[in-house]
Amino acid sequence: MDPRHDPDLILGHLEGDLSPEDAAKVQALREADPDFAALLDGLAGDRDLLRAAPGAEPPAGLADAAMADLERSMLLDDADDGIAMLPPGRRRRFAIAPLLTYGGIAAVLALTASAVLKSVQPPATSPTIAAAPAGDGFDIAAAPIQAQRELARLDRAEVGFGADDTADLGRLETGAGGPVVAETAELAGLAAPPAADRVDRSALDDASPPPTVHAKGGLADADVQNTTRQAKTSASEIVVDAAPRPEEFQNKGAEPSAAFNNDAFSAVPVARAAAPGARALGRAATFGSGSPADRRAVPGVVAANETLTLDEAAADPGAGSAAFTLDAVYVPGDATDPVSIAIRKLLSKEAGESNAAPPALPQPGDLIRGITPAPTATPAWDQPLDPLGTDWARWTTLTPQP
Amino acid sequence: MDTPASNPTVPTAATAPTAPDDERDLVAAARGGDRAALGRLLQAHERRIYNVCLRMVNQADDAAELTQDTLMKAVQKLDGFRGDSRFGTWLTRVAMNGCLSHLRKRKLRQTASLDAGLPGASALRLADSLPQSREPDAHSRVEQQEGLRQLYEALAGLDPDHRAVIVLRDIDQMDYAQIAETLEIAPGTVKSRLFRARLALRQSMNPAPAHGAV
Repeated sequence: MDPRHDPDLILGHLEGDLSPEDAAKVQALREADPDFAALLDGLAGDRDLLRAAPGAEPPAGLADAAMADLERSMLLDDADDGIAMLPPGRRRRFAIAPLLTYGGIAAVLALTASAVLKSVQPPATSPTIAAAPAGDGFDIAAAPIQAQRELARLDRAEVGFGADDTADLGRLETGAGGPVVAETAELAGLAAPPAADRVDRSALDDASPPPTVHAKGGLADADVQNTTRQAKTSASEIVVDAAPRPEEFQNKGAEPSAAFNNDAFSAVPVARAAAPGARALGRAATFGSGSPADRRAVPGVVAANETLTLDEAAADPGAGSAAFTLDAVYVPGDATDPVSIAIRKLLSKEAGESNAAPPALPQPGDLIRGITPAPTATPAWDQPLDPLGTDWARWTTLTPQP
Repeated sequence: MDTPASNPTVPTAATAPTAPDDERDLVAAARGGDRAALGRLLQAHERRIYNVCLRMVNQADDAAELTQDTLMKAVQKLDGFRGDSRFGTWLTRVAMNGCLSHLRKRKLRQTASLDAGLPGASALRLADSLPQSREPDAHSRVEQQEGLRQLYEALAGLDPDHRAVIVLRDIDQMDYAQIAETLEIAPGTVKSRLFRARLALRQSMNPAPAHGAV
């Protein structure tokens, strides 16, 4: 090949990474062929001009606008939610015709599927909600605890919920035999879990003596310390049972140091990093950014467990879509509790379609099983569940407890 | 045609707006729900992403929209950022994908891809690029600003894949590895594509009739 046509030689010359021998070769070619020299000079000139070009100033506040748009979208109702997620320019161009077309197709399909399902399913007196076991000593106040105990029996895990800002808990467990990171909290005013599972968050104090930590798995000491430090609890004991091994973090591309940054549910990212299919318990117990000042309990439904599947082949780079189902413990709030409203709407809708009497509203402590978010709902996995930002009408599968 | 405002301090991938450690901390805080950290993170990259988008789509309004779209996606997908690459590289990849998708929709493929073709095509085009005469270089005859304007026009006329590699290399000043990661191509492909892109850009700036000078 004529060296004047050698891409590596020319690009190497432009990028300045030629060996001395090759640089001398280029120099000789330049001197021998002025046209070749002119080409090189032109290429270098283009490069230099672009690299020295001043940058353009973007319109003010693009980042702020993006964040404001996202926050606004969380406050809008379901119908506007999809549109609100789009940037302003896109929103102006949003066409109603495709929405109507695809919406109509979806509605027809949904009605057809609903009719088919109803034709093959036996009638149920309470098709969606099953009462929690009412054993000896069961009462309203203790109902959530009873339900949690039942779930614990079913799923070999403790569950938790938040009743106020000082009482939240989470316990995470991956699939059977997988790593477990446990963080439990006192359930204020309801019942006390076993002492070994308790964390008194009402006594948050950095000066408190560090809790005793039992690490039964391969979690590095530093990570255990990080966990306890971030948890900021004065608990007498935190159990880290069969914790994830460092290589599990690495395999999932997560860094242990980044996994413990949320003192609300510090273990959630850990479980997620440890293995796909991780289940998070108590995730819905907080609502907000995750910072203590913005954290508050969500009445209505508290996640009892979730099955998470990460879609590694998501179209967008670096993105992972989370598809999961969750079982929940119903903890009634007041009349404006958005989750309670959503459940009532859903139950009434189902009753209307089946011409059956409306089923009874869930009672405190009832288990709601197998709630599945719509594919379009992709809540951030390591953020507290946001009922206002969730399309509850599409969380369609409420199945009886077996 | 957009003429950039005079501002020499635009950050690039090479002169990252945040130090790696700071960036990691900001990402971690943002993922933990720290809104202020998220804001700082986005603002640190806002201008750089805007310039990448601007040079890709060559329309200020579209660039602003794509930048905002990128930042929103970053917020929505922050959970999926695994930290394998720097946040800025990841963000640029999101932006670049958005730009390329935007360009596909606009059907702005104004220049046939130089990647296609028979073996030896690069040599033929290289020969075509060599000037016939020894006329003074264009940059010696025009103001630098006019040269830059012409260069941006020529850049906008390139195949989007070639435009992308030049934008990332010369405007965002990424190294080969970062470009490969951003465009999800092999490092060797980066080099060959960059060579062809530079050649195509030069041809656009200084079109010369085909001849067999070399």
